[in-house]
Amino acid sequence: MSRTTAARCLQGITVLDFTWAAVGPYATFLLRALGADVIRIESPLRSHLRRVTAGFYADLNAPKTSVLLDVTTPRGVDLALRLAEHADVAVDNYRAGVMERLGLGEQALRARNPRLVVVSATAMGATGPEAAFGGYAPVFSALGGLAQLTGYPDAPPTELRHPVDFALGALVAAVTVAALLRRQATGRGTYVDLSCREGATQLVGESLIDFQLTGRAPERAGNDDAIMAPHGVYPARGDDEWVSVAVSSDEEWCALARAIGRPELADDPSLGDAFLRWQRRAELDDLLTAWTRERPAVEAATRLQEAGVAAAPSLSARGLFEDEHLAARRFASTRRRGGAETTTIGVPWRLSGMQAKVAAGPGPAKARQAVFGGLLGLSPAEIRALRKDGVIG
Amino acid sequence: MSLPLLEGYRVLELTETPGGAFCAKLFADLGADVLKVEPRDGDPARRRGAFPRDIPDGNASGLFLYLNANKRSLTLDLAKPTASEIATRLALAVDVVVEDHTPGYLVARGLGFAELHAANPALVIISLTPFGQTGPRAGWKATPLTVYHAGGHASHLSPATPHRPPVTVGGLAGEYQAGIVAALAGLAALFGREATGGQHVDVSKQEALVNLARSEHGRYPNEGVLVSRTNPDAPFVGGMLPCRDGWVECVVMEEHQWDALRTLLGEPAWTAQPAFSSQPARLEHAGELHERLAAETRTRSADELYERGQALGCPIGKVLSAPEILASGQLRSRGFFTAVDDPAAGRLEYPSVPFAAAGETRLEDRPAPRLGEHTAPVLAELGYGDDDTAALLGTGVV
Repeated sequence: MSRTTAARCLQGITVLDFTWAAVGPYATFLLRALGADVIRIESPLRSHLRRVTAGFYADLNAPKTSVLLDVTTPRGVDLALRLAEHADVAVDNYRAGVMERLGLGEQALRARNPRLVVVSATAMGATGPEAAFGGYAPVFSALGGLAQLTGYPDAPPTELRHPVDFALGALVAAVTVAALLRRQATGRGTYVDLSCREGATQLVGESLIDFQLTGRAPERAGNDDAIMAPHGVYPARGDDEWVSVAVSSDEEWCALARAIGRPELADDPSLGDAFLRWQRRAELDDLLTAWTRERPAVEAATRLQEAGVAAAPSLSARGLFEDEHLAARRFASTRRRGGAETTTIGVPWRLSGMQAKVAAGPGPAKARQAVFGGLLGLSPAEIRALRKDGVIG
Repeated sequence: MSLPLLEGYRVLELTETPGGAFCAKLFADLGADVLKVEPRDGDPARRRGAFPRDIPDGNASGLFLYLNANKRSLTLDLAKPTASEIATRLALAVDVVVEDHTPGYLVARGLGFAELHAANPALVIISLTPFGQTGPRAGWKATPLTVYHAGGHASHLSPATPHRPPVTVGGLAGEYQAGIVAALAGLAALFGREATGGQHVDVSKQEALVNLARSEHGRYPNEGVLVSRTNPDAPFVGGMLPCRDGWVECVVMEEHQWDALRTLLGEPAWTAQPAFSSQPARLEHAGELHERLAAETRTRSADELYERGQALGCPIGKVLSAPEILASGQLRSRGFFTAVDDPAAGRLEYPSVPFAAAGETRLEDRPAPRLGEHTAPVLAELGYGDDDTAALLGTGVV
């Protein structure tokens, strides 16, 4: 049974969220899911991009306390700086220099609160000759080396999208928590200048070492492996259904041969070691395909697992939501409100067996009162005046 | 490559997969003292390569070096009862355990969360496994390939080859992405442990990957839209474009970026057509636009497109290979590479942590350990005398 609870790890931590697009909002979503209070500063700046990202905007931002604050005005900047005095963390992912031009750069923020941890994620990093260059996940994945290594050798490099944004978002969140741990030891905050392009390179870091060791630059290899065979993704029964299989030892090869009804192959000395099998991998792929295409992906994977061979269905979104294992772990939950159902994917960890429940944040009026009334101590009259002048929403 | 954000923390690493080792690497690169326990024949990454001049050497495998620099290594045969006792004493001396064994493996050796937590209530244990600690497939065998495909990304990753098998992400990036998620949850548990006590952090690699594509996957139950290779999430203005000497990737989301791209390409007449006059129109004709852009970029060099394009304000990037990344002036100016003299593999430049932290001085980096290099000093730290250590070595426990 999976039980749910509110996460308490980051209880008492207040995060000022100046983020937009994908890397930043996912980072602060994760910090919220771990128990931090996240105050999301919605600004007229780049607000049109909310439409572009509408699909996941609500998913990532609904749990946060969102307020409208026009940080392009001096009074808006002043309020943001006052909020920094009450916060532990500030996160942004604008192009390098944007926060400084607004008057909300790391120096301005940290001058108000030396214990503040400021984390800025930019495409290139905040320094260097290309610091002013910008780019979304497909751009920094290309520069970082991921695109070059993803896909088939005879096809173009592969464009990588949100999953890489989100992986970098998780890294931003992890570094934020590490900086908070450091603050516990030193009493000081810090400013973290994180480069998404470098983060993408970290995801393929061994390719740089391999190149230095051999003089050969690693290339795209599809689903092939440099050592294992069979190793690939094979068609299963149905339309666009697939099962992945990886054989990593002689024992597994013998088990696979028996499981697919070809026990004689297990005794074939011409397939008796990994290198011999690797040389004949195209032939083995055909043999395995003849077996996989006769059965549903989950059944094929289950039969191979029972024989002791690593295999798994290559799941589509539909497959994920029909997957009995993910369902047993309650990876997503469905809520009915009125006649409508909303399904939300949960958080990717269980803490001592508990799944953290990420509660929805307050509505606009409550959020406004909590942030400007509660945290900053502004009077109702002051809040009314700021709203009238369009400084806050 | 390392920064001292986690200086003073100690981590015990009991891993055998790239994802587990990467999770512990994040701790090592942040200055924690990471003790890596290896079986007597060494971590599997020692046999993976690449090797200098292609000659296998367990102390010079590229994958092992990358994942294990800044760590210490001790060998321990966990099948032996005395080894379990040593591992338990280690768990008492550390703040965090990172492990990636099949659920039940450590429990059977007296090293489950319940036992270790009873002995050290402040301990955080991160278990990063293919399918998590619970559920019908918790015990399934997996490799980086099968985990990645179970995580759902491959179903929409490669629209350029919609009729071929879904394809995995390059290298071991799926493993490492899951490792980042596990490190985050473990760091948060460490931060909160005064309030909560030590916790068992159960991260399924499959679920970690699912979460990183939550915006794509969530559209299926909520909008009835199945994002796939034949039905990508949203068209892009731009995309992967061929050039004279490679590829560039360009993503135009805003009007001023389109203007920059037009200027970069010398304002070809076709860009003034109504089909391309606004972002909604361009998105509607994204396929045709991609072909027209490809015809323009094909005759130009990737460097020119990247440098001029970015100077004009167009979000564009070159597709870089390993040697090109190593040669990047931007990365060099940020000190992203650090040279480490490795006793077995020679002088190598490692990619460092992808960030700088104000007020923190980078720590001196240490090469990846030789197999069991730190067995004797770590045993001494645990209070074993020289005679004990000699006996443990002699009996093959360590």
